[in-house]
Amino acid sequence: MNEVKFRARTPLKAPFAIRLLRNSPLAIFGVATIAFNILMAISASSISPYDPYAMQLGNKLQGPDAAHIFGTDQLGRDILTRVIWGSRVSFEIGVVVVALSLFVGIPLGLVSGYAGGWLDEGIMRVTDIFLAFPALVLAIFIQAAIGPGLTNAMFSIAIVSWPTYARLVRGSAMSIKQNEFIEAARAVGEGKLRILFRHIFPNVLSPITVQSTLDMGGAVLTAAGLSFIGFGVQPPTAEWGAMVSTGRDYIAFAWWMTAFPGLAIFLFVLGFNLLGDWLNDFLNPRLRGVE
Amino acid sequence: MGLAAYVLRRVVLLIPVIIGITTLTFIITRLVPADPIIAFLGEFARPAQVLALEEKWGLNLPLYQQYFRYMYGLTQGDLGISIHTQRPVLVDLEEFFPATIELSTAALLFSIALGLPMGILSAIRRNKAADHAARVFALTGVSIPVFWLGLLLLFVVYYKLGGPGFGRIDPNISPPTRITGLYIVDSIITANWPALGSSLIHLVMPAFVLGYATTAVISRMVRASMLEVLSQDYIRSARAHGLSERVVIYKHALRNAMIPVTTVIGLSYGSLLSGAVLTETIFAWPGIGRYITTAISALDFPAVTGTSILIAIVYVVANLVVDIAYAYLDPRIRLG
Repeated sequence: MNEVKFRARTPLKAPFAIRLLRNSPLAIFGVATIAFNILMAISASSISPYDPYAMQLGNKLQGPDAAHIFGTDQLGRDILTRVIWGSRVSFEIGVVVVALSLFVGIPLGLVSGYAGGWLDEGIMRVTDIFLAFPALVLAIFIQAAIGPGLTNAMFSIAIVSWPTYARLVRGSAMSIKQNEFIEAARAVGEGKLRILFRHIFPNVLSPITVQSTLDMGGAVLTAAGLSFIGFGVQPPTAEWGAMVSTGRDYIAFAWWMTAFPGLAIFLFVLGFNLLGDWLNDFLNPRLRGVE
Repeated sequence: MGLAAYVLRRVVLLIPVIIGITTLTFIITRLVPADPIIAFLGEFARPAQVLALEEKWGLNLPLYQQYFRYMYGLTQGDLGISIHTQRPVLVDLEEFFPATIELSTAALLFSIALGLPMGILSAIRRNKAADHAARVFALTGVSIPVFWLGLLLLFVVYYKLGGPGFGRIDPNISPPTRITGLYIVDSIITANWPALGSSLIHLVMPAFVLGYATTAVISRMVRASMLEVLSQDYIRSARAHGLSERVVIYKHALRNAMIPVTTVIGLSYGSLLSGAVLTETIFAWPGIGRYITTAISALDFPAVTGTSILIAIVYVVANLVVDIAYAYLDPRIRLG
């Protein structure tokens, strides 16, 4: 699921994309799940039945019923409400982490692939060191050093994610710079920066789009893992991983505290994985011809 | 380039990566706002104690000298003293690492045993019901939070059905005599059958939870690789010569399709070690994953650093072994 190989992008017609999407029920399900999550995040304040932080101690640890469809937690807070509000935090994590990784990974990858030589060698050895750690372990380690909390969690996950982008962009840039149109641009006297951003950058967009889509889910999954071991988002914030973590202490008799927030994480990540998988097939002309 | 020269080159290239890993961990630990001396001695340490410890750990030295001391210590196997166990980190890791090896190896074996046939079936029944089912299974595997799956299974198997739940062995059965630290191996060596049975049963659920994502990745890789190979000319020739489909698939296609799959399997070992952190926490599995999470809550930096270095080194060495196997299976790699 990690790195994806691509050839240069060929022009596509929109109707083709729609036709392809129609033929893929899994991709439709993915898009629908993401749309549903976006809707939840936008309208959280108007659709939630309760206040996400309002405690009702007389009503704690209630199983799912008509008043609380997903039940209540150890402080009597409504779980459905907290799951709805949690989608906001998840989008925030996904978008910020992917944006930060792109911000660092794309320029470094472009420079590395285009310049070559010692600069390329240096940047790639640095990515080697980062990729030598399993992602979650390095994220835990960084988070342990800089302390818990949402901002720090996003920061540690981005530090772990950028090398993948740098390598992906470098690989594409290296193959694209062999093309004649780059030589032509150089011949007419275009500067290095202009060649990088005007000619090479648009051609590495496909693999980046796929990887970013997959990482939207990946970042949320890692963040949930960090919250689960008590290091990411801190209570009382309505974050799905932190909710599962709290639910763990009550798992023997209040399964709903764990089941519903976890299901929300699963569907969120699944949606982005389905879309990413489909985008991969769609943007990769080599695979498209096969079907 | 011969295989021996290739191996030598790769091993030499490993040295800067390991220096990089340890340097990165040094830099991160030096960014820590928390004071390791206060963490070790507690809030109410006397100034004399603080000074003595500063002297002993070399924290009063300039940063570059601290760095060389730290690197020199590492070459001597000195990972420092754990704050929460008060023992050398190396001793702790020796004690807890076998449990993690046992768990992640079981998870890997499980995912190969399930992922391989699933991938083959998907490839030969492409776009049929079996392929779609395998795809859904795989996408579920990479999307499901490992801790959530673990908790749900624990709820059903342990709390509802009364099956095995926490730890490596039934608390009423004494663990096998420690030889390798791997319960399965040790109980076979010492012919301790009750211990063997109990540790096998306790291994099933954590290994499944940990191995699910890997199963998904392996099955997708096998499928893609099989499809690639099956479209080659030599497969068409084999079929044209009238070989049975069975022989074509298992003797001609699978063998070549396995080359990229080996890489994925090797790389999975690293992500299994990473997943073990969460899995061990849920199942109270006494491995390095649980050790590192406990250490984090205690702000025990020597322990966190030592465990991270150990995992990273196992990871890069696993990658190296995979690359060597790859070069052995496919001579084009080392010639290219």
